Amino acid sequence: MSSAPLSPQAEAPARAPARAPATTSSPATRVLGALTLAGLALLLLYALVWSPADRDMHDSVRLMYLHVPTAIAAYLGCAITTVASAMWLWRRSEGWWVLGGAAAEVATVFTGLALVTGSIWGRPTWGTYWQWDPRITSTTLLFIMLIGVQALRRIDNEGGDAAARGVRGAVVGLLLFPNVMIVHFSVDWWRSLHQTATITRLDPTIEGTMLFTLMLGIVVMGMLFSWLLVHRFRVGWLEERLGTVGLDQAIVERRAEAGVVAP
Amino acid sequence: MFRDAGLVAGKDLRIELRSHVTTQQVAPFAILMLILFGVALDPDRGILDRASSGLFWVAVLFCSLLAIQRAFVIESADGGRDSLRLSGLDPAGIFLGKAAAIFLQLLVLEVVLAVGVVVMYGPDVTGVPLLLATCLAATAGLAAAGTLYGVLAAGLRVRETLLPILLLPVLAPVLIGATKAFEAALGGVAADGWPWCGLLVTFALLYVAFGTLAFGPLLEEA
Amino acid sequence: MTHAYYVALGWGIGLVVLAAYSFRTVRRGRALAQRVPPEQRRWS
Repeated sequence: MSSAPLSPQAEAPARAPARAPATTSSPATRVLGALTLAGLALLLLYALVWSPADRDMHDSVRLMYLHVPTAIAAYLGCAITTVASAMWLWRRSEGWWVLGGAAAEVATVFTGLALVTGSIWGRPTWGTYWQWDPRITSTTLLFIMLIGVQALRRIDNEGGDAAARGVRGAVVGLLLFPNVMIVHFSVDWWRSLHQTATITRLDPTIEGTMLFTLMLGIVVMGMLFSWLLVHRFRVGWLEERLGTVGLDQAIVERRAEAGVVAP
Repeated sequence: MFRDAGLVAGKDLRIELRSHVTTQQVAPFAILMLILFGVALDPDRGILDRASSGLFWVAVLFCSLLAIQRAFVIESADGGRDSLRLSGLDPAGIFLGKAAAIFLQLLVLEVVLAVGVVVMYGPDVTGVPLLLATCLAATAGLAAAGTLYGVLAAGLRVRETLLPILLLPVLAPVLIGATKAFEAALGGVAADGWPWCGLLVTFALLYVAFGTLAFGPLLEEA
Repeated sequence: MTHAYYVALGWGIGLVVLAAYSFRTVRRGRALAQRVPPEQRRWS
């Protein structure tokens, strides 16, 4: 998805008109956004109307087409956070820092959604809102980890400008995905010792329209995730700029004051 | 590196010996936790007996939060952190030293908790080798991960509330592994428990390795 | 549809949250972009 640059070094030379509109949109994101909306409409049609009800789960399976894609997007966001944090620790360029923060925030939204939709799906399907199965438990822990990552990064961001970047935030970001993997593995092993009849299992023989809808859901959520990531990245980028701009303006203002006050 | 580690560990332990915080504050907290569990979970000793492994390790986890906070609070007084940075000690050594001191303090707490659990919850103590190995491996992991995340949160005003949410999810595998190993040992099927002990050792090695590598840059930022 | 309530609830929450987050992010972007000179945002 090369619709938008993800690092400042890769941005195209400024072909902006003298009056660049004040927004984080660009022609690329508008196209992506439009496609995403179209895809979403199509997904809704397939998920809610055209795909059949499941043999065992009946219509509650329609939630799977939302839940699974958001979960995949959430984990993708975590992976990006970790990679961006690693790249920042290596290269120390601002773009990687902003990307890490953006990915963490978007991933948090998708993780929360995955948990909620999963819980709602679970109620009619298995009778409970909560299961002590590997995925729910480790995804909930992931959610808390993401909150921690963002809390730590916020402290670093408040610390000042681009020069005072925190190794702290990057290290927790770096550790995020490995920790998720370790936790998932442990919980998986732990729960595999308890063979209850209600353990979450995607029917491996899913086929036809249902498989297509699921794949469509994954693609559309991926597009939505990307669109959100680009915008959130640009928001973060602007916040960084504002830190510098604010400082420059303050210097100009102080100098102007000095010019007025000094005899 | 190891010499520096010894110096730092010695310093931390000497501070502990003089201030008695672990023995006079954290240990009573540990016993308090056991009592609260007992109160909450029905003095019917059947439940407490069956849950001893899990409750023991949950108590250890919460005590470790206190121990780790303490380990870094002693640095923040009187510019201790700057002195540490300027001392020329190898950062990896500082990490190992702090982790070692936390390790030893946690072991002491675990002895206290073990006595408490046996007395108050009454499980039959079997499979002692597995129990000991699990304690060593799990505590090593706790100390290593705790020192790493502790320095991340050190020096921040919000560290008391931030450290738990950073560290506890990361330590979930330790809780799982240690509890399963203990359950296996106490249930008489030690063979089931050794693989979990292996998980704990792996976890500990990973965090010791990462900590020694990452501590240097982190200490700069603290 | 069976379980219509749950399907509607799940999808409803999903769409609402994603829409709300999208609007919030774009609006935040607009507010920030107005304060930053155009040379520093070279994507449009």
